[in-house]
Amino acid sequence: MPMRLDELQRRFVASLYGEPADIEGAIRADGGISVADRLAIYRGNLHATFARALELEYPVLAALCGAEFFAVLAREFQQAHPSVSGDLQQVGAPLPQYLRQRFAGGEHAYFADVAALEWAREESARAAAAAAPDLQALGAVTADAALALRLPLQPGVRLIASRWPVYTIWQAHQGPGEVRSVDLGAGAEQVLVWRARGAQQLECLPPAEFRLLEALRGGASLGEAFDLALATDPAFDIAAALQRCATRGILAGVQAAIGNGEGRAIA
Amino acid sequence: MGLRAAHHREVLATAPDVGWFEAHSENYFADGGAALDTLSRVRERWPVALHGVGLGLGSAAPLDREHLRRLARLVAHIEPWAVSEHVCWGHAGGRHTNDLLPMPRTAESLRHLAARVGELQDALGRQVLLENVSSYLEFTGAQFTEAGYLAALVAESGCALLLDVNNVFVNARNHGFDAEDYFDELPLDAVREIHLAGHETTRIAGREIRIDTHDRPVCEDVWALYASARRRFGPVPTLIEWDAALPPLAILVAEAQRADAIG
Repeated sequence: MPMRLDELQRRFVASLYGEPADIEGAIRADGGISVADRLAIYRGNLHATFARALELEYPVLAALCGAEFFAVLAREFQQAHPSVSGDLQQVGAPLPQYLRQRFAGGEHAYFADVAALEWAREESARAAAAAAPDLQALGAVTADAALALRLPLQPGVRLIASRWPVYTIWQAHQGPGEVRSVDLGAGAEQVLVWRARGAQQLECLPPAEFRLLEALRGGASLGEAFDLALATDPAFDIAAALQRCATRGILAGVQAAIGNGEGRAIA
Repeated sequence: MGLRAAHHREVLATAPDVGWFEAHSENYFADGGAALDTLSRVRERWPVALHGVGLGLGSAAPLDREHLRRLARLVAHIEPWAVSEHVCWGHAGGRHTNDLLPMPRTAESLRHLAARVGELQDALGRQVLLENVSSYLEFTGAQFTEAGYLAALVAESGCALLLDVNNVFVNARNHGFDAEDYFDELPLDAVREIHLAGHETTRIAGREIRIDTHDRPVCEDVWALYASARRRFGPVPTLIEWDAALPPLAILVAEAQRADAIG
């Protein structure tokens, strides 16, 4: 009587993950190659496929780690967070959080933020594109009405704040040639990730402008967001920052702020 | 030929002389972005087939509804000439292997797989093609030959077949059967697409084993078997799969044209 399908599959996967599974009896041992050797081919595939997917999603982290350390890290991470999707592009989702715990307080603590930046790029690349706002209609709004507006950001916008120079680290690994060395003590960076002209864009923002965008993404009105930005930097140039938002194409259709904050689409 | 991200720009810029493109469904599950835009633009010029590698229809665990929803959305958007999946399973107990694992060829697993294929066909509102996979082990208690299992799947689910000639060759060597006997057992009119690929020959404990790698040209033995398949199954659309160590686009185009020239 052959083993039931669900039982066989559960044991097979457990065996690939290195757990005691008692699967050997369900596998033919002919052709001069042992069951253990046959299973080892699949176990090798399991780890290689996972590590390759991670490396594609996290090329800068992989470069920072070096091949040997990255392989160990990928293996550890896979044990802790096995793939939960048939879509390989999803396997890396829990990695930033995993690294945050794994390297908390140590010399590699910044790995988590580098990974968060790389994952933000991945998400940005696959996000939907919302309709752009009608900038002419926006321009015709009175100053008071403008302050009450809620400006939603495009679904592909991500905001990554780090106490390390993550943008500079990421930038140092782009393009051919030697990787420039980066002073980890150079201080905090706030990075805007978005998609424009079919590609992911990254830009390091001053703290006040970053705060403005965080507030807008959190659903604050333009007036509330301005107040937060000005509290960060009293010399913050609001008009110039809004102009940059429009030029980058990071704004989506606009909502007026009314009472309960539900908002009405006006553009 | 296969549409791979590394060639996206070049394909659109140079419009190579190939009959159609095949894309891995999961690579275009995104809500938006450049990859999906490229596939949409490719679709404006060529017929496209969608080839799924992650659904794992033979898994006993429940079908991933989100995966199915994204596939159905992509199929509606691209309107492919073919939608294919594999005769395999891939996950159990919430853990995915992201591999194409061989089915135990029992009546129980056949019933299960045929029901899942039916569920997929109902969800997409169309017939799907199921592809034979390469394997490095077989389960005990088989009640079908590999080709007999495919034939029974076609009869029970109403699906068609994507015949991977390289996988037939690899399995014939690994498990000791005759590839021509395998072809004999397949329903002639069910084969709607053929795949070819390169594979590696390696040794374990002194014994030869063939590993499906998709990282090199199709070997002469597989070309010969392909010629035989074309004589039996007719001029069905043929794709050369090359997924790792990708060569320049021109080499892929030349391989695709060689496949078309064999009649």
